[in-house]
Amino acid sequence: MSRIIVVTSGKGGVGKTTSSANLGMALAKLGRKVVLVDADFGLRNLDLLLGLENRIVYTALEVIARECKLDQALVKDKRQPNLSLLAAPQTRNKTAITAAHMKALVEVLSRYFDYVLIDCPAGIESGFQNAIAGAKEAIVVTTPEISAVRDADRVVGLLEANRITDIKLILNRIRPAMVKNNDMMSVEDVLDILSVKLIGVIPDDEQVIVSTNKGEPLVLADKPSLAGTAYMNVAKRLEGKEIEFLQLEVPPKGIFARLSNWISGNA
Amino acid sequence: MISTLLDRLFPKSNAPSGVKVKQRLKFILAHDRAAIEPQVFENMRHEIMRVVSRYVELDEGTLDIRLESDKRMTALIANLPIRMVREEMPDLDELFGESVNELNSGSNADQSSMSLEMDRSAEDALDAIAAKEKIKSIPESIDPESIALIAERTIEVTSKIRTAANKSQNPEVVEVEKIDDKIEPPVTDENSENDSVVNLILDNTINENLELEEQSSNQLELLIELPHRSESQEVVIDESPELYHQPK
Repeated sequence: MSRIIVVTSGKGGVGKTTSSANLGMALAKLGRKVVLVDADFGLRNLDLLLGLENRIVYTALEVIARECKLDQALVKDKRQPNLSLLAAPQTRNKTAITAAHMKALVEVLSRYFDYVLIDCPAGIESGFQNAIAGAKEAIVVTTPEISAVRDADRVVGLLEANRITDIKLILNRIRPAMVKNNDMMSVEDVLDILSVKLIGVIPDDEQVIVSTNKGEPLVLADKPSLAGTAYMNVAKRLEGKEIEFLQLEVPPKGIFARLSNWISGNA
Repeated sequence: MISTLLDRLFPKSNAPSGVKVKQRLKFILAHDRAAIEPQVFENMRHEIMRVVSRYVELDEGTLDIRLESDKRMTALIANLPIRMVREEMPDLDELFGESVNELNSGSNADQSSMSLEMDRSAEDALDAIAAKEKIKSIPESIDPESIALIAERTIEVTSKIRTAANKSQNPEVVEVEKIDDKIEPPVTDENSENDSVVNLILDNTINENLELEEQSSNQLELLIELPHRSESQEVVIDESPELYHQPK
């Protein structure tokens, strides 16, 4: 039984696409057949994060318009053959696609893959409605910021109204030093407010930008960074394994850094 | 650098921003989750008062109906001080025969076009019944059956208004689907006869819990819990009349 999961957030820029790319790659590494569907029609980015932008010929739009076959539009990742991408159209009129189209599309994909991961666009308008149309589960990505948490709450409500009740939360860009200093909401604070099941805590990590620059998801690295490990753990939890959450503690610092921190009030 | 050093040496007594942001979020979300237009809420308030006033005379100066939200649930909380109790209860058969069936037919006939205006005929029927009531004296207490009746009627009124509100807010949601098939019979608190407190819990098709208490201090407390997420309010109204507590 394949799983159809939409990755969504409401607010833009909280790490939906990064999370989709890394989760897709991580699940593929665990031996699952995964297809990533970019539902951000008109503003596609998932191909860039996967480094597959040069290999896209057809997109979901051509599949829906029956201008190509489904397997022609699926781009198989050469580094990880279990992973395929169905790109979003970048140029043509995106209003031509309806929720019914998307539902049919992911339904067909689910026959061939263990996981269909849908990367949802920001916002809660038609693009969002299309992206969630065929989904059975949802992963909501948020950051410990007031606007992101508010939007996540709204999105959770909309998902439930659309009868998607299996909702899990990824809390992205946690900065342990700020949490410790009480200048950032903790994981517990956010969970207390949203009351959604937590499936991953991703620390703020500069390597995310490096991996985006290179088009290589974090989890591809031989020795993944902290964020990469965290994404790998999310994938294992999705697979039903009990994995402890990473201990995100403030690393001990040298005497100079501590002095400078003390002066700036972050001790 | 120097100013931060000074701040550090002479700290201001500000709450950490992490604490502040959580308070702000909770406040925002209480409003976001309720998602009831002020006008709609006013209508609901008005109708709840009308229903309850049919049975007891309320002290309008001190009554309080409001929305509250904590992390799990948004609740409608009503505190209705009773000035006096109307002795002669409306004829139950008449009440069920006319008004409830009227409400049912109103909701079943054309659910997709339900609006606040549509309930006018039901309201007229209720008004007619209300007009027949007379205050005769001030009895000691309200009998549990009447409490149950008030509870049922209040659920009807709130659910109708909420459904209508949903229609107006989410026009794209056309279909009305049943959220919860589970029907539990009304549960009466086992101590109710001793301490004159009646707890009525109805888990019916509108997926709400309703508790209604009559307290010795002559207050009617009404707690209607709404589903946690305001958007998940697609509800169906009493498809089966037997779901309701039948009069003896």
